[in-house]
Amino acid sequence: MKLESMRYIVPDAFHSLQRNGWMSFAAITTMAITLLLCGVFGILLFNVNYAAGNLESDVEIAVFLEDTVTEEALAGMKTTLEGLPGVAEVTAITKDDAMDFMVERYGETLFTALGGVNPFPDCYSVKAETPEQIDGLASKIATLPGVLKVNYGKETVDKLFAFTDVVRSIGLWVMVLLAVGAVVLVGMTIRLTVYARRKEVQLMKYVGATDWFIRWPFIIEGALLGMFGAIIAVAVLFFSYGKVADYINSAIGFFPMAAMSGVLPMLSLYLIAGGALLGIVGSVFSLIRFLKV
Amino acid sequence: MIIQMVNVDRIYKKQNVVALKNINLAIDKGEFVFLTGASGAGKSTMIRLLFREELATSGQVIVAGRSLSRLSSKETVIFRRNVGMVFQDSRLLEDKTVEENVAFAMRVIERPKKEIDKKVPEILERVGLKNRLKHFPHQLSGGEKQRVAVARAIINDPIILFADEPTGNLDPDTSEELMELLREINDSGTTIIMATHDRNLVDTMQKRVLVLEKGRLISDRIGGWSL
Repeated sequence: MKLESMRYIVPDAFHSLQRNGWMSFAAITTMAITLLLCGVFGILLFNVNYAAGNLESDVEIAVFLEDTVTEEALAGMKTTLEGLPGVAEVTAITKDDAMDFMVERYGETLFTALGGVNPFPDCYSVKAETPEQIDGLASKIATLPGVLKVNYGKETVDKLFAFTDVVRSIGLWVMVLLAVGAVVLVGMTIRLTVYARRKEVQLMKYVGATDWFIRWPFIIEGALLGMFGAIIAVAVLFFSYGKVADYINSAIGFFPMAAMSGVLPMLSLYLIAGGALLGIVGSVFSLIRFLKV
Repeated sequence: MIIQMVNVDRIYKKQNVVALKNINLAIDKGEFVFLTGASGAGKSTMIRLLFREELATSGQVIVAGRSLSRLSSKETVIFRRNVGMVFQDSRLLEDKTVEENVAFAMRVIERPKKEIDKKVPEILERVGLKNRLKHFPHQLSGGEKQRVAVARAIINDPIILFADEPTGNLDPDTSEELMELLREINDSGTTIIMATHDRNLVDTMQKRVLVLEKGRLISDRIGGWSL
């Protein structure tokens, strides 16, 4: 098909969208919800990977000590830790130091949220020489007397991934169902157009139009329905990303979120392409059933 | 011979109807041929076979040297581009102007815009409608609508023009005007096959007349209508 024909086909497709009124609206809305959900999951996964990347390369182990540890034992602990193979540096962080640090980083709201009580135990920050040594070191340190808990990046990462796996499994089913709904609605909208344009289609055949020339306008209409839904989803994501990031930071605090410019442009492209594809699929199903060429 | 039908049958199995039986005919380039007969005689069926809207149940329909049943989809498209069709109800697109309706025939076969812009006014002038370019079908008389239909059918310079009862919805005077137009088109070299049950027209034109009765060709001669 010649490019010149697009000058008729694209306006015709827009005209059809308008003429189909509420049906178009229903298709676009369902598509928007489907793609919004995809976008949310996309952002979630991206941020988890981003955080994981940060955490995994973190060579620090936080060693939290029991409250019952004496001053002497505390001093001895530092020497013991420094003596372990693979340890590069050991820094003591008292509970007061810890509190000051968190307030400085995340604001007074954190202190207020904690009810004015300092929950932090005394701890040591142990820096390993290489990330590979962390697992072994952490296991060893955990067995030392007086150690309450050992925290390190990989453990948090494992927990994060376990969480997202569950969310992903449930979310995937929801998305698939919604996508099917969107595709069906697009198909029904296109069917309306096929019916409305049946005289024109018949004439096209009489005059010698190729089958594809007849099909293209309907396919483009389907793609447009999908893309409009995607644009709505993208707009919602753009507006809400910043607000959600702020909320997370104030409520949870320590979750590093990727910058909007790092994730949204690429995601938007995927969503628009995905929307167009779903729209085309819906259109094609309808054409196979209802367009006799 | 531009059209040949050899032992052609057309049977609608489901309804158990024999629409055409044992049709044999040959038509030369440039002829004007009437297909006549009572309602249900098989005129429209024959036109549909010649236009390849339907295929013969048996026998061969050969147009411009090609057997229609052997055409691929691509070849059918080319075939359609070389023939024109006018219907009894003109079949204009109501939401398009006269100009757009005629241009439609060139647009869907992707002729260049320049060519379309040049040819459409020319053809509308030829059919006597140059002042109606921007009108919509509902603003036209029956005769004018048929002229638009004719313009659309001939704009791609077809070798054959099929017309299925084109004057069926027109009064006698308007019918005559339309026939005059068709005669002109025929004089310029286009073969015309026209199905009609309008006896007066056939008698006036004195062209070749094929008479159908209950699906059979009972007469093939030049002159008026006679049963």
